Amino acid sequence: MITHDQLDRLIAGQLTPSEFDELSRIYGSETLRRILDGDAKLRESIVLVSAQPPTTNLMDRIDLSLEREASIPAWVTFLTRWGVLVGVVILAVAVVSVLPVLVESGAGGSSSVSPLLISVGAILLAVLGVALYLEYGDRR
Amino acid sequence: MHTDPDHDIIERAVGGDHAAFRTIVEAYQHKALSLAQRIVKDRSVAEDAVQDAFIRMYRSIASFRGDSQFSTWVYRIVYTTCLNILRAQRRAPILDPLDEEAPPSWVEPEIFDQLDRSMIEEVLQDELQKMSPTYAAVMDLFYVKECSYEEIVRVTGMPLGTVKTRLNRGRVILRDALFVRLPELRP
Repeated sequence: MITHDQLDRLIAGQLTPSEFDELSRIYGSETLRRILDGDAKLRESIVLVSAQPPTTNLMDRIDLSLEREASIPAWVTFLTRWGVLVGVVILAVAVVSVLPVLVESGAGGSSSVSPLLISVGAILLAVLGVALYLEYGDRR
Repeated sequence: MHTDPDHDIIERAVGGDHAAFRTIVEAYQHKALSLAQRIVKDRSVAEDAVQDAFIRMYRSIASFRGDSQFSTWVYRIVYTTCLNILRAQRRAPILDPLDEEAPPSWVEPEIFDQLDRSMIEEVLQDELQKMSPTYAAVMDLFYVKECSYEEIVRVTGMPLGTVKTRLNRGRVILRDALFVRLPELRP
């Protein structure tokens, strides 16, 4: 019986002439012809059932989408592509800016900027970072 | 054999030429649709997937370096877009029991001579529609797009052995379904 590898390579046309001759000697050229003939007919039938026109005017829809895409401002495209990174950077800035304030507050030190102001700013930055991630993070 | 659009058109599209990209869309829309249809099974969802896939290609075409055939790159984006849709619908294939090895199988040519063409088409259409998305995708890539095994590996990310197993199992499924209509030919 023909092996998986022999069948795979025969059907894919990957056998060398000498390998083909060898298989013909083992299984008979009629068997190989039937395999190739059957596969060609299967291909022809699958191609036929796969060739169906779109139900809507797909090209028009794609055209519209492409035009919309081309008209999107550069900064939105930038965010779409790099939204995750921008979000992470903003989040990191938020954490870095709030940490010294927390440390200083914990140590009882004083700061020239109100800790509350910095904390609120950091939280806003963090929220913005997370929002950017949620909005653009899965569209890259 | 599938052919890439003219090399010059691809280069122009990579360089941001909108008209060149449109030419590519025209060249691939039907092929992309048949692949999407095999995976998501629903014509309307397949059209949405193809639309989405072309937008993704438009956004990322500058990253096409020519390491693989352009068609492979196109089919890969269509394939992953469709799988993402299935995941979002929680219909993504997880484990497929059909992945067990089957004896090497081919379809006897006599079937096509003795069965009515419309019946053959009906059987194949039914079976491909029922077939697991990843199996049907491999069948489409091999038989319709005429991709080599290696190209199918690049498109789907499946190991080479899995691609071959699924092609063989796909043939077994179609062959068995055809034999149901013509049992006297079953060896």
